[in-house]
Amino acid sequence: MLPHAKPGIASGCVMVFMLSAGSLLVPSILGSTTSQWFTQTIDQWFKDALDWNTASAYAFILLLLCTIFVSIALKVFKVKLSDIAK
Amino acid sequence: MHKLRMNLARLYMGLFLVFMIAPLAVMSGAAFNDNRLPSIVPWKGWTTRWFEAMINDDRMMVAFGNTLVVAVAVALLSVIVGTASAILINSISGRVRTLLYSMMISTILIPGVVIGISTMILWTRMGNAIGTEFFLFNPGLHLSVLGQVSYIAAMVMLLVLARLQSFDAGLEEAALDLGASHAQVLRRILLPYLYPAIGAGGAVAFFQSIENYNVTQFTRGGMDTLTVYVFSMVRSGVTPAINALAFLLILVTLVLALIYEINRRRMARVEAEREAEARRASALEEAL
Repeated sequence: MLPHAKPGIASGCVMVFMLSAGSLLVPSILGSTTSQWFTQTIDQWFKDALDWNTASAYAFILLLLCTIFVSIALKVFKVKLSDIAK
Repeated sequence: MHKLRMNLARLYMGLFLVFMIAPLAVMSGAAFNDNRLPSIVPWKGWTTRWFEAMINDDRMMVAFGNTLVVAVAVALLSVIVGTASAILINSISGRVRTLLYSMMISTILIPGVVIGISTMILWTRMGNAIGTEFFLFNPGLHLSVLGQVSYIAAMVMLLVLARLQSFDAGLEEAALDLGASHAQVLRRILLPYLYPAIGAGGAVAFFQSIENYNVTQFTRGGMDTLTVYVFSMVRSGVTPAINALAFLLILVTLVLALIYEINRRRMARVEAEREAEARRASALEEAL
């Protein structure tokens, strides 16, 4: 049963990872004031400092890191991107 | 041993359901507590004044209206874009298909923050480059709609694509053979077949849009949607008026789900009766 469900498990993991890596509302409300998420930093550059260039640079780094992580995860589990959410 | 395992499985399921439902129950309870802070302890008696406070909160009502407008727009656009791309992806194969499919899927994986910032910067910078003050290029709810559609359309596409894969292409060919135009085939055969998936996709898009915060936060300009407003209230101090609104939303969702389920069961029963009738008729025919 597990080998058969493996691609599904892998793509589920990737999906959940991306959802939580990109979340902004939950860390802002539930996180403590001492913990700062990457998305919160982006939000502050964009909304509070009004420095869009820095904000988009940070957002690009987030995108890049997530892409690298997902490609490694997909390689390790031997799943293709097109298998996700099939 | 077997019994123990069954009990453990039941215990796990019970705990899981509590984990899912307890926050909603506590939150709904706080809507009726006569306490300035949204909590159920200490319980200071039943009240409906938070519902009145909710209706009298003009900003919240405006935000709620904005949310509904955005959600309807997102649902309409996503259904159109999603269905079109599903039909396209279903009709091609090979490397182009993989490329297109991966591109659509990757929008679901991309963090909402990134989608929000890119939408905002693309449109406003484009407006600057052209040197126009046209409203389309300024931040506002329409940019939220566009940003949200860019990933919600992919979800609709997945739903429609799943249904398309069980579609019998022979029907299409038969209709074309009998002289139907491509537009007629689409309208009379393909779309009616896809209708359940399109409906489900529209509902998914609607609710995804309502709960969206990441994209809206960056593109909204000065406008409020419900998620943005609730979050600003969390910063400045929450009143149970929020709980009252959330309770009503949960109630509406539950009632809609109930109606849908009852309707589905009635349809299934009618279908079963019809089949039994047909079986009786054919048995009678054979006997004669």
